[in-house]
Amino acid sequence: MSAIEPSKGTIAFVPPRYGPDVVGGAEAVVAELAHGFAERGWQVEVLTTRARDHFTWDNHYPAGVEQDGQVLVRRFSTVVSHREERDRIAPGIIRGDDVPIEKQQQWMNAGLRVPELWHFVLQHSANYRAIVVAPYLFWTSFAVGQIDPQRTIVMPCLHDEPEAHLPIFKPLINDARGLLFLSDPERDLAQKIFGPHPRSEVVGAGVEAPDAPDVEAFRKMIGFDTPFVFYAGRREYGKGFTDIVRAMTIAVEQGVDLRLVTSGVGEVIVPDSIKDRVVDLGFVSTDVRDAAMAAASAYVQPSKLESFSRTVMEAWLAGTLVIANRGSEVVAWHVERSKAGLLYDEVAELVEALRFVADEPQLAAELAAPGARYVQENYDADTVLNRVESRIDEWTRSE
Amino acid sequence: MDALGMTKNKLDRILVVSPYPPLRDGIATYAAAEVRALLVAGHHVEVVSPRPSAAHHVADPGRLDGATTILRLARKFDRVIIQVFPEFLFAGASSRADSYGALGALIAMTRMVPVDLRVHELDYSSLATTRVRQRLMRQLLRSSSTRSVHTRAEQVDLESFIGTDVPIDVVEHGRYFASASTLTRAAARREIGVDDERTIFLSIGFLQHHKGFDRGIRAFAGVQSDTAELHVVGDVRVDHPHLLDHADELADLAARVDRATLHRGYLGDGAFDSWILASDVVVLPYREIWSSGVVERARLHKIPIIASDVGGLAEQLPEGSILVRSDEELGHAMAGLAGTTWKRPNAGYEHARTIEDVQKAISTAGRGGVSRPRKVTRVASLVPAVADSPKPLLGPIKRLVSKATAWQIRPVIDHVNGLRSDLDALANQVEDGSGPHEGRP
Repeated sequence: MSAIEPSKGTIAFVPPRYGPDVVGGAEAVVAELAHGFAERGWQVEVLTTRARDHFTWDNHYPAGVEQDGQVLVRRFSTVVSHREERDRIAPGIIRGDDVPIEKQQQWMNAGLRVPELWHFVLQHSANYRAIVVAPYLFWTSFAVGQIDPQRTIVMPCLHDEPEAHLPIFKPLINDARGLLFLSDPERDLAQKIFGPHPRSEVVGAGVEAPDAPDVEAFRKMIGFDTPFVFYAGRREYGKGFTDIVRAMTIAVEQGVDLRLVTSGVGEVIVPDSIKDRVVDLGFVSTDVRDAAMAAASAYVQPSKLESFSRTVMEAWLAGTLVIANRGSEVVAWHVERSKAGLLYDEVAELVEALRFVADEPQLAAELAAPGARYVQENYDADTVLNRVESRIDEWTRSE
Repeated sequence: MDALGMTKNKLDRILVVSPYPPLRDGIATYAAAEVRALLVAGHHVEVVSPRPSAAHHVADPGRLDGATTILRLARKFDRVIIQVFPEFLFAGASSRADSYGALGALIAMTRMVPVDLRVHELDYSSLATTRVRQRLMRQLLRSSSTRSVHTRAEQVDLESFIGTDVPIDVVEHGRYFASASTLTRAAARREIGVDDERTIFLSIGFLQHHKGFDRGIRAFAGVQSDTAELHVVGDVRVDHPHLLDHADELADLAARVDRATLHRGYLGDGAFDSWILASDVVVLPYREIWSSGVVERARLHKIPIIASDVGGLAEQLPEGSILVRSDEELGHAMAGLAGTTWKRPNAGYEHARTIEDVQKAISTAGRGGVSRPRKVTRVASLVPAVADSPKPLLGPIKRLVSKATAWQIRPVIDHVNGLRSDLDALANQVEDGSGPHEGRP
């Protein structure tokens, strides 16, 4: 624990959710940075909502101020209204229709809003040296990020999705003091959509190597020691989870002897034919997740909407092969650079990848070996924090 | 009273009724700046906006249900501030009765709690659409505790509407404004990509006919300089065909004038201020305006202004600004600040030999310098009106009338639609060049 150095100033991180039981890649990156900055003597505040669940946005955590280690957390109540308006406009946006600006505004302001958080920043923005908002798509980033753009650093966590192309996001991105990207493809996408920004940097996300995971205990916990593939995260259509279910169903029908273990949030719905081959751990501790990564024959990343994919890095650090959807430019970029994973375009290819790890677990483990080195060389937590700190320090220094 | 108009040393509970961010709108930005100032001063502030936003409450003051919600909320506050402009107070109402009811509720509120009205761009002639609305608006404006405008000209207009026996404050438009950019001029130019050696004229804001940006471009065409540039920056407020057509016309016009550029796009506060910082002169060739937020942003960054003499601009402009009364004066003012002379853009008469030459030159000059075919305006198909009404009795009566007159109306509609179709076919031939030409077999 290091002492606060007042000369560094106060930095605010604004994620839509924050807490030990919050599942979300961008939220995890922000939490990691908040604690990293606090460790380095910055006064750090997290300005966030009371929500844990990003579907309902129910106020789960108590409002007010709490201390999370060296990080001060201020929580504000969510307001959810006019959902029907959002639902009415969203299909046009997803289809890529030319949706008028005023409809885009309506869509953005319907559903989740956090007026108390917005007014807190309106009143106190001058007290912060930097206000870091992430990810771009949430109201917290969109609305709060435009209050004091000259202090605002946006970590967009951008995916190539129709929403990213909406003109309403241009002021947030183009006016920001600086932009932090998690990967080269994300930066390239931002440049394509928003044009070049005078202050931007690819910083990546820091991933810590886990302490020796207790694989034996995990095997005991799940009650079998045959090969399985693992998926951790949001079990929802948008994250590609249904692709895994479809591929598993076909693979099992074709006699592939493999199971699926999954953790995270969202309901796991599978056909009866594979029910006995799917283990839902629900929300698990970091230790259990690390052990599952290490025990698995492969980690499956079916999402096309990734701006970094922390779980892929965790799988590689655990020495596990990654099977990923080529549709995510970012994950494909990681896999091609590391040479420690397999990519698929269609469910049929995913089935074949599952068959491979079931038939050749030893070879799968050998192929995964370069992954750990790739993560350590590129995403060591300290190195990433150095990059972020030096950029924020440079961009927000008084002129 | 303190500088914010609040009771000195007393922390008030204040309800602000306004359009609000993240909606990008001049009044919303103005309201947020005032709310920030009130919060910093220690007051408790809550905001009501007609649509969901960063405001605490959602209620449309132009509708009876919204106005009664605001009336109920107001009981818990020491003071209510309402931003008054026509779109805000009248656009949301479902009927005249709804609008009158809403105004009635707001008047009732003025008897319950002190109400401050911030009056923006209120066109009093538009209130004359009905006597009831006029009477109710007059009553609302008179019965509020305070009412403020931004310029003396607006004060005079408001006095003529409500009389001189109630005080009307003139409050500086930029009172709560702060810069959204911390860049230096050189850094702003680098960021925008503007050459440091150039003289930059800037017209910025929503692209609307009354802003007169087209006048600015035409006048700029006569500035005799290779180093002066005019940048028109902004976008349409909403995607209305009317506004989109105007934006297209501006783009055409800018494309035909050397060193004039239209940068069409959605603009944030930071980019807005960066453009102003990067400019040498801000040009406001407005046809009508009450007071201008752009003037305040330019004043904030000490950028010289050329503006047309309309509305309250004359008194709002900072010292050293240039006020113009015609396009020619505008051209001379721009040229003067660019250190050069102005010459009316050449219509090309000197080479004219025939009446046709002169006619062509006039037409070309009238369209900004280059001859091109006029845009074809399409006429929409006519369809019979729907004979229905939500009101009891009126629906059946309308249907009966519709049936009784159909034999007369229908042939007229068919005939008009036939003509429309022929016109469209002809217009297509003209547009794609397939129409008959002289000398063509």
